[in-house]
Amino acid sequence: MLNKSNVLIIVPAFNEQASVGSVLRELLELKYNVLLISDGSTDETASIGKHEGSHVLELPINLGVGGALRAGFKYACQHNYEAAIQVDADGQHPPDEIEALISAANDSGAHMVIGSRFVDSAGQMDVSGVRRLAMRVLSQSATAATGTPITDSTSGFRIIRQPLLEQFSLHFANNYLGDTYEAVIAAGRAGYTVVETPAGLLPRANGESTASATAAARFTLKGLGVAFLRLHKKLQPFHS
Amino acid sequence: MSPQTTQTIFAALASLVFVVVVYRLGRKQKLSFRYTVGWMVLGGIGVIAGVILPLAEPLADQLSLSPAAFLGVGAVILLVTLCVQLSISISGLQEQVRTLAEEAAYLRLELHELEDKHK
Repeated sequence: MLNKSNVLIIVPAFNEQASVGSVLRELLELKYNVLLISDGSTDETASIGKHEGSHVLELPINLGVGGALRAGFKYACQHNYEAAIQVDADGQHPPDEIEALISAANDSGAHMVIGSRFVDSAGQMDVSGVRRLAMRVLSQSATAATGTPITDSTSGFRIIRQPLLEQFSLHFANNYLGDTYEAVIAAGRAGYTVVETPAGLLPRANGESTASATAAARFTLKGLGVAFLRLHKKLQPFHS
Repeated sequence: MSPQTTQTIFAALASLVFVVVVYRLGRKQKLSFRYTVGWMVLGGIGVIAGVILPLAEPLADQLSLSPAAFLGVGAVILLVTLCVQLSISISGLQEQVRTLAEEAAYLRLELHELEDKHK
């Protein structure tokens, strides 16, 4: 049974000094175990994390979101956590929805629960036509790989539990989409269960999203290529 | 002096310069022993290409290639193989860098936590 004491909240951050403090404060007020991963940040991200009282993993170089997450998954396994949840440092993932993610994992027993922006009541996200189309194409591919309906394979708001957590601590891509879409494909194809639960996404606290329409199209093609050619990370198959 | 002899001498001299450059890079520790020796052996083959080329003539004939074209095809295959090998090396190094960065971060965190305990 997952609860606040055996779930680690992982907050990967690269130069997020403007928003990371409030995100961490909110998470710590809710009594979660929080690990901030400063992914080669050159600003005050790490020192803000320490000041707020979070555990802080300072990567000496920028590894990308996937690289930071794998470091967090390893930390979670080394400290015997049952599950890990990724929460973005830009304030887009609402901390008060974490409880719903944990409940969904407990109710479904799934190895991965994705907080989807497009299921039921969620859908608060306003995305451009090309990005929406890209997300839809990737999600259809993820549905095929997992055997369960996936509407938001690129959502980073998700809970991952053992034994999938252990597998991700060993094999986790650090390229764009590697930490989201490719991870879902890899998990589904290895026999791990993946389900979705509704989750709203807040506007970024600071800064702009870097995903332009052309970048979205390019990354979608790359993601589909990885899935088609089976170039994603190979996980140890799960046998129930 | 026939044009072929001139070409052979030119190729041998160019290969010799290449061998010397690679050797100096190795001496300056810019190239590891493995790569220094590997490139020097390749350069050495270039130096004696004029001598070994006639030996390859029967095989080149079988493939309907001139000896020079045969050498060119061989060189391209060799270089592509080398590029793939280097790509494999780089991929391995990227993974090693990633693991080292993680380890450095864990050690730093443990150090901070130990320091905090002893404050």
